[in-house]
Amino acid sequence: MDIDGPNHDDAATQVYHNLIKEQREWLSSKGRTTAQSGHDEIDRIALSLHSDLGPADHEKAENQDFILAWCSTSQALSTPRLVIALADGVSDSDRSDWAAALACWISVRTVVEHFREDAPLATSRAAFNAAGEAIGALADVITNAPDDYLPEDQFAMTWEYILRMGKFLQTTLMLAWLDSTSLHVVSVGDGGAVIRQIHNESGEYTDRTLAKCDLDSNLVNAIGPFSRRDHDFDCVADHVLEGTSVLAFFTDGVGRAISNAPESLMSDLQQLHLDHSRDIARSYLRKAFDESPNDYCDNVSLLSICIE
Amino acid sequence: MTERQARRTRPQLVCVLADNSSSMNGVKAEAATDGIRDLLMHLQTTGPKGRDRSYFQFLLIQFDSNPTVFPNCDMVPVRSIDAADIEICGDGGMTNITGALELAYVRLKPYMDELQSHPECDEHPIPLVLLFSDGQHNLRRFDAPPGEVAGEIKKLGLGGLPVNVATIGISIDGDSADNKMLESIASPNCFVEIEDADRLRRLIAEVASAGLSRTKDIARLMCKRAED
Repeated sequence: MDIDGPNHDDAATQVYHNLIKEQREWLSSKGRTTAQSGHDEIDRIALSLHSDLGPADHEKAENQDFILAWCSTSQALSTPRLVIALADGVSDSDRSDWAAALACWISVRTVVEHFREDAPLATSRAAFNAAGEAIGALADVITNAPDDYLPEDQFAMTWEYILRMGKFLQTTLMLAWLDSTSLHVVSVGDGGAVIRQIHNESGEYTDRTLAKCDLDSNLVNAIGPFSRRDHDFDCVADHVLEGTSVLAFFTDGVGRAISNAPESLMSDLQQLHLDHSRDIARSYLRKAFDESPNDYCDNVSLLSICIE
Repeated sequence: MTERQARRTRPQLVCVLADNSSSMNGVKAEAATDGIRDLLMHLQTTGPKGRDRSYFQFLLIQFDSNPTVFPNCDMVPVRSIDAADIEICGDGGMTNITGALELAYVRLKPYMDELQSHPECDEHPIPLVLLFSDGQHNLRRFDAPPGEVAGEIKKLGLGGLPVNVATIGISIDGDSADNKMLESIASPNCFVEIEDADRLRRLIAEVASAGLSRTKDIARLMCKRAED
């Protein structure tokens, strides 16, 4: 999704683009951001991320995932070292790609701005509430002038139904950050997160699943116009870091493909980090599409981090 | 042995048989109209965007003395239908449930025959037939009682799973449907009696839009929604 998209005149598009621009500029003044695809290295942290429409011939025509990473360029303990966000727009929801992008930018900014090392849950709440309120404000622009936003290929009665039922601007959101000692992961929805703690030079390791995709259901919790604040989190996990760690965060497009059995994924990512590959997430996904295209029938987003 | 799993991306055919006899006139016809519209709009907003990516196809038969397929609702993708065009008026004559079921069978038989040779037939959702009525089948034809025709519909199927027939008896404002007959033509435990217009609206919308293929799942949902 192109966040620097065409300059439409309608109020909602302007509100959306202005909000994204504001967060991006603010976060860039405090550190470095990487969005949708790319890599970064800072201090002893290497990260790689990639969001993809998915292999050809699956059901979706657009990428409704969004993925964002922010690295601190300051040594101050008053800011987190790294913040990441991963969002998967609900497929049945209109403009869910906007919701995914907005949720990521707003929540990452809020974590950086209101970071409290001693209160990770309070930090999470602030971030999710801010994301929900931003989505809600954008929803209000649309519902206050519904005729202005009637999609071209949509019937008026169905559009009114969509707005009445809140079936627009819905997204999952996974948020994670590193402070001086620990990793914190919080999510609403069905994203996945795994950490591989490598114990010693012999390569012994322990994999811990921090967040698990629910493969048994197509229903998912999400933030959106009718769920702006005080969300019930599907995952809250804290992990004290020791030694070298490899992390993976992914949307359910990846979670379903690996059937929630991450050992092979983590081993592949670990090897790519060891090889100092620069495009780890994209390389992994492209290889996976080539080898098992039928396992990937959705948008896919993957973020991998190595911390030494 | 694993249970047959329908793939979500294969379109399910939803067939609604709506009583349009004169006794439906008023609050019952309004609830039926609203329920079918809500059903359609829910089906339209399920699945990825795009007119040609509907997860559902729709057949609407309205019946009084002469059952007819509603215009633009003859087994078409749901996203081609404007819900605002749907209206059950309750302005018909007598109640010909056999005729409605026969018309549904005429549509379903070739559809199911074609699916048998489809490369993804093992993962294709099973069609659902939902019939609601407030009265008695009173246009009698002794050579084809409703139960017999419903039985032929239920013999259609894929991968060992039959087409499901769910029925709703509408008993509002003192009227009483032929619940015994409606229960007999339904798949096991897929009949409910409704005495409330709002509940009728919700039941039509929610049962037919659930995308279910297994009889027991449909029965469980109908029972739950009837009690909500």
